[in-house]
Amino acid sequence: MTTAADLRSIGEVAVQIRTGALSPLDLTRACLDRIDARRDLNAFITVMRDRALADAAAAGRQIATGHYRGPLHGIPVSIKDLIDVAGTPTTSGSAVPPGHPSRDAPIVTRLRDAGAIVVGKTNLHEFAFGTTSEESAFGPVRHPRDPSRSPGGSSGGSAVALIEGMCFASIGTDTGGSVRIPSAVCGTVGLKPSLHELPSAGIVPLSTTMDHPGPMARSVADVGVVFEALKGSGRRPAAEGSRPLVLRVPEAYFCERLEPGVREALAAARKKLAAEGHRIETVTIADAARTPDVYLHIVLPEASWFHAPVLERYPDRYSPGVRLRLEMGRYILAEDYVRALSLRARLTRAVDDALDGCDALLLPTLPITAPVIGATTVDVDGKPEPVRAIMLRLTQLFNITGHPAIALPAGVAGDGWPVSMQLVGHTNGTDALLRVAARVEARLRA
Amino acid sequence: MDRTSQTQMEAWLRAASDDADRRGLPQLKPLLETLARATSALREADRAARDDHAGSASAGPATFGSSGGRTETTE
Repeated sequence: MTTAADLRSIGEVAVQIRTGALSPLDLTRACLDRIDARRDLNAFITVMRDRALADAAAAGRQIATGHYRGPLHGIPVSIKDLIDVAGTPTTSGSAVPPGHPSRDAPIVTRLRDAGAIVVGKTNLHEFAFGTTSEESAFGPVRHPRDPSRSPGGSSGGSAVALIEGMCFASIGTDTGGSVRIPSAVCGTVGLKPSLHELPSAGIVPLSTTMDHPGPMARSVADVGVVFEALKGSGRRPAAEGSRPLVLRVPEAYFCERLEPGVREALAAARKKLAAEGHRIETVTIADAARTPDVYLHIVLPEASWFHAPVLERYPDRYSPGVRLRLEMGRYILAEDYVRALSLRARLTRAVDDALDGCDALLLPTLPITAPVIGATTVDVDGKPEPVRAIMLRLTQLFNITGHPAIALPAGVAGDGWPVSMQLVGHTNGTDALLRVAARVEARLRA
Repeated sequence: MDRTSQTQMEAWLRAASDDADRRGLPQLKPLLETLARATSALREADRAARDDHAGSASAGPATFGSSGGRTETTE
């Protein structure tokens, strides 16, 4: 049973670590015990117990001798197993032979430089090519609230690790929503920064032009702390402002197919924010309905290109669904890929236009709550929708355009499952987006 | 979609499905049908965007539709 103590914020435990009231070793041991206690959820692929305990002990000694590095020093974190961590295999959740990196990915190096303790590598939808984390050679990731349900994906193990107190932050990747979708399903916070804001070196690509690594945690403040470390800035997140926000809700397309609980949560969020004096407007993102077609014609050929040599050699080691999606990409004509890139530029301008003069766009992160593992369709407003398509529907546009976007909890649906709102900021305005998100989070949690 | 485009798409789908069969991947065929629909939609969007751009070339960068389409209501 997860207790409130398991789910403290980074800010809370950082104060205790800095003052010596809590040792990184005890904290890390507690997280590792949580991982062991819930192996049935398949949240982790590799647990780095010995290395994590050694690093935690070293962190404790450094802090005790006056060498405190900042709010991540001694904090247990996890890494999606698509990202290189020296000395551990990078499996990508696949039975395809893994990579054996001798060096950490730069974003892992930055976390370690900030003093974070890596406890392990989290499970995922194979090669990040799916939204449910059920196609993994290491077993499907299961939602702790109901193991027959998916925690979302592809960074599903990371989100489960957060809500089960197995770590205080995790690093995921987001190509169509893979940080934000599991954050939405699990009731945590996930940030997709601006495109290319964080380095992608040492990360197995899915789409070389739409992949975004990003931090996941239990609050906006915690995500902000991790994001600063990932940038290598060493700065603390700037303070929030107090002027009323201007938020725009893109209703057409984005609010058309929503489960009732999600629709009610959006209405409640608008009402709460307006009651606090924020200005809530509506906006149309021109031709947003073209998003899935553009997305498909970029992600499929880019993924197929990367996987071609391995797919030729080990076709049967891929999960059937992932293999078929990779095979599908090989049939896309070059001219259609270029068409999609051309339309991508136009969609980017359309989102810029929608953001002009406001702080952020406000929309749901996910039209549904946790899907049943193995389901191929889900009923939305009495109509069956393909699970993968409906889960990507509200997030993938911002991978195409590169705008920063964050998923944050917005209460629960009538059946008790978490519901999430998404805020989308200006390109290269991730810090400003985090400040907006902190204010929205405070209001939505009130 | 005009008739020529439709014929081209049908020919593409036939060739792709035959290739999937030849490679022992018949389960790919429903996905290729989905892809064909998406590709048709993509090509139509591209055509519309080019027409739009041609119609407003002197007015700066083209955008989908006639405007940003903002309708403001304050809550």
